[in-house]
Amino acid sequence: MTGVAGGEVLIELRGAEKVFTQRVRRGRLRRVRREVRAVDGIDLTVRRGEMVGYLGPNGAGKSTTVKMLTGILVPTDGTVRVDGLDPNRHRIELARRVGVVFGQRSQLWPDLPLVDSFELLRHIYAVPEADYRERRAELDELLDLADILDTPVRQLSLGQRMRGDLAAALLHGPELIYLDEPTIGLDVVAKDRVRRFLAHLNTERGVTVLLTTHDLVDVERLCRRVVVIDHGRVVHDGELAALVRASGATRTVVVTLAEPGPPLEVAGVAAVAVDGVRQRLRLASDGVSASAVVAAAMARAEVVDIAVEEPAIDEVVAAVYQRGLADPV
Amino acid sequence: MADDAGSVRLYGRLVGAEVRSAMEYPGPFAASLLTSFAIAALEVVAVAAIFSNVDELVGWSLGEVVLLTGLAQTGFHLAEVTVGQLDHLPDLVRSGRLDTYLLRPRRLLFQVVTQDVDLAALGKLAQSVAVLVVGLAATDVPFGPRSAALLVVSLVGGAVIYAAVWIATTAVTFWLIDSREVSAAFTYGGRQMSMYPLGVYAPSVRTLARYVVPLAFTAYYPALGLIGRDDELGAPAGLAWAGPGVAAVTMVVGLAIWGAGIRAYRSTGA
Repeated sequence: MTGVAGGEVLIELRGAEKVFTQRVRRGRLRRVRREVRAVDGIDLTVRRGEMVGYLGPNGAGKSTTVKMLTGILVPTDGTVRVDGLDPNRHRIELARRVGVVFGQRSQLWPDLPLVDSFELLRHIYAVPEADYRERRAELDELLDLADILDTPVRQLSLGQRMRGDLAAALLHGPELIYLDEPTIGLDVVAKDRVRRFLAHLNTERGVTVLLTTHDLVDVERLCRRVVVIDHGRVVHDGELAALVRASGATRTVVVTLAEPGPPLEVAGVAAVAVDGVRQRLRLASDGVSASAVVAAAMARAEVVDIAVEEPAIDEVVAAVYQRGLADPV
Repeated sequence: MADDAGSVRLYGRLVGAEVRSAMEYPGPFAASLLTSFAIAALEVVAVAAIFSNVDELVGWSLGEVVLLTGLAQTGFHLAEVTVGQLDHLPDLVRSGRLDTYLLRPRRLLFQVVTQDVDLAALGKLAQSVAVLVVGLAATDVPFGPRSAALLVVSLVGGAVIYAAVWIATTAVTFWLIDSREVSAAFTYGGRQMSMYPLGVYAPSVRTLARYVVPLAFTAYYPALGLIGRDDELGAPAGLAWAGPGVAAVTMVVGLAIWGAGIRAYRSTGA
């Protein structure tokens, strides 16, 4: 299996279901009740120390899963356990040991300096003074917070605010964190910093991480194991490489020619898209060598620039989802 | 609970943070303080307007009704300063901030009432205390330990009753998404109603205010006790002191409804 060998089970979902009842307008006054299965029987086990990428299209049930794991929502059916506890009945106890970051929602006090939010959270979580000082020192350094501590949160850039929110979610020293799109909207430098920080947390501190994202680089850099859900069901659970292979999605060689020309005909290429001097050659399979394709292209035309693109996570997920409907993993 | 002492200090810290946030915008803050003072004052003008046409209202003089108004307003605004933040609950549900609160190791109600504190309510509170003082002077309430004690008992009881009504009616949000109309009818509407003697109302409203939503204990019975007059509706004189007991029962019911609301929210989502 893909879990860290020997790690004890921290998260366990067994046949977890969440059904919402919506009232849909039909005509002027009539409302019809409609059931929406946001989560439709999920089985998932995460062991202590793992870092799991939790992927799926919008509306697939990712947030609902996290809400059940944090006790915000009670499952309609099935069982949910975090460290053996029912998050519904032990919401407050688990909240002391779990950290959550929603990339698009801040828990910081917008009108106050960042450091004030940290102080308030320290008291909300009743963090002992010594622990707080030790963690603050570490987080200030790792997330480079010194320059922004005295800035009101509303004046922070998105990247700065995200660093603030990450620190805020970790002040109480959680052993498990749920991250919902922690790099959304960040520039390349800021993304890289957040990723390095998350990797440090996981490898050095042993913090277990459940990471929701649409960014393939996040997953590639951080997660060995990837769980894909769609329509509330798990359609893939395994290593990232296996996911990409299973999806059939392949890399693309992008060549820029000296002058526009007809689509290049190169062996091992499934499709060519021409955009002026730029041509995008999608490889037929994972076995095709990108360098062989580049060499063949250079033999046929004058190439001034080349790049190799990894398959986009959306394509991979979409492919797995389409296949998953017919053949659930 | 073990961390009750810690909760009191945390309450102070969180409200302090709200004060500092409001002070980030001193102009708008001062303006809203003044506006809220003025709006509260207009309600007294309405009472005065009635008495420019009549000399008494079901046997109550202007001074007595002003006392009633002062009691109703002060109790209400004490509650508003403390739990008025509940009015934001529909927004918290819609924006998802409520979920953020549920991720923290504190009770939900505690977190809701310590966020978005409306300091302008202090303007209304100041105004209502002024009305109360005028009412006490105009009715010649004897100055002494008995009336002082009755005053404190009445205001605390009144504030807790309003707070309980606020909590219970706001919890409707958890079922209906937007409870503001329902809630306002009982909170703001209840204060408005309590500004006048119970005798002016239809029997059904009197029954409601005495036995169902016990607003009669926020101003009417305390005012009778302070002035030292009998209830023309026949209630025993001791009811003036019943406020805190009634308030405790009302709060227990209010918190139970709130708890049921949270359970509904967590099982259905919003």
